[in-house]
Amino acid sequence: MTCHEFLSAIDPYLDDELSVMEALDMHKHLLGCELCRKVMESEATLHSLLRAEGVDDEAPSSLRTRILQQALARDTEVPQPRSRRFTQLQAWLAGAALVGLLLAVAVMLVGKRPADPAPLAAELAAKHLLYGGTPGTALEINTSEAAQLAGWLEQRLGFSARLPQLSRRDDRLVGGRVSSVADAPAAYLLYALRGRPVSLFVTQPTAFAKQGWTERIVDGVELYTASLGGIRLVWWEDEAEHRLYAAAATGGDEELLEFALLCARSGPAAKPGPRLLLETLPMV
Amino acid sequence: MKSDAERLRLEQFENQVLIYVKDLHRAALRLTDQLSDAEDLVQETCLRAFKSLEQLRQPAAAKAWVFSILRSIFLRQAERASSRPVLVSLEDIDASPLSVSEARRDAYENFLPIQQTLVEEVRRATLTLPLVYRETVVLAHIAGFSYREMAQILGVPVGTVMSRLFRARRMLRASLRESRSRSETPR
Repeated sequence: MTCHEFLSAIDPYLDDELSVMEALDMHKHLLGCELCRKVMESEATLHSLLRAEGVDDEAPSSLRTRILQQALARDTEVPQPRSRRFTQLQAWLAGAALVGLLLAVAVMLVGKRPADPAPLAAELAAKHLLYGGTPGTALEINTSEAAQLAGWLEQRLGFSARLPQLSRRDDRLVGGRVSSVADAPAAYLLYALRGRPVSLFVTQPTAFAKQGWTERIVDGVELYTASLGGIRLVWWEDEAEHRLYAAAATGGDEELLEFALLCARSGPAAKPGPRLLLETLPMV
Repeated sequence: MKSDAERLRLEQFENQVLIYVKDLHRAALRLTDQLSDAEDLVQETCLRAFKSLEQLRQPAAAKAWVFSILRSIFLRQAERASSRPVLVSLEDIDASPLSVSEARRDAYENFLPIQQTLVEEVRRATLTLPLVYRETVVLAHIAGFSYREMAQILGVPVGTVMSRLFRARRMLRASLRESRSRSETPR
């Protein structure tokens, strides 16, 4: 390779666009040409600076929630095949009106401007629909073993979660995944209680705005509840363990509160040994 | 209750569009230079993508597809905003690839120590680039696209992408050199 050819190929080389053989030719040339090596170093510095510029930029934490919220509101406008559209027109209109009404109620409840109604509630409700909708499809691990799942999540998140010990025979843990709440890493667990999906989120303390949530003291446990789009929501804090828990369900208030209390009263989940983890858990 | 189709659609939106919000925001910030404009641009991009999710046939192409939408919305906004400088002429840029001698001369002429250049200086210099070069730099360095992907997003041949990138970096070098010489001039 000549210096002429080398200089022409510097940009594709630094942009990772050369084949292995071409890159090797570049390396060979560099070994014997001090001038080209200096040009390369200078160019590489510029490339590094361009890559580094903006790495620390973070999108505002509310942006993603706001988009998801609007998408949820627009979801009722999903185009359907023409023949079905006519037959379902009234249902769509009713659905759109219902979503609009619910959002308006949420806005009135939290007393905020229309563009920002209860972001936490919207996020929890959206994720409940996403992950709890078709059981198993959006989960990273499917298991009914609470201890296994707790260990799996702790490995990935770096913090433990206190999981409820279910008492009814038909109730079961479906699985879980790594998720986030208010832009903080969170464990997501899906339960099937009386055949209905219930989502549980566990995260470390973050600034949950209490405005717009109804505070309730139930059996000595401080709970914050809300409702959005027909989805009941509740969150509470475990001050001793420094955790925040939130749950979402499409059922009634009482069922969800019962589940929240069950979680709040459960002891720390027993952790399985590392051998068991390696043998039984799929890595994703 | 949401139907299965609606839930799948939201899931697809989450996995194929929303995961790029951070990259989109960084790119939008470099294009608009305004925090609020960047947020609006990202929001409109994502919602447009949500509306058109059926058009995305290959999940692997999701990132390039979403960035194409961002670019398209941004260009339309830029065209509407008459007070802002919009585009430089593309004549002679896309038509004539750089000669090797030009590349060599440029590399040597700009052979300056930029190791101490601050990242903030690079950001300012990037923002002064004409749009046609700025968007190429943003796609390459902020979004991390390959030449082929950039060619698809920009709707130009790969050679043009390479040519624009080369010229953009040359302009950046010149701008950095100028800003450095200004800061080193005794007052």
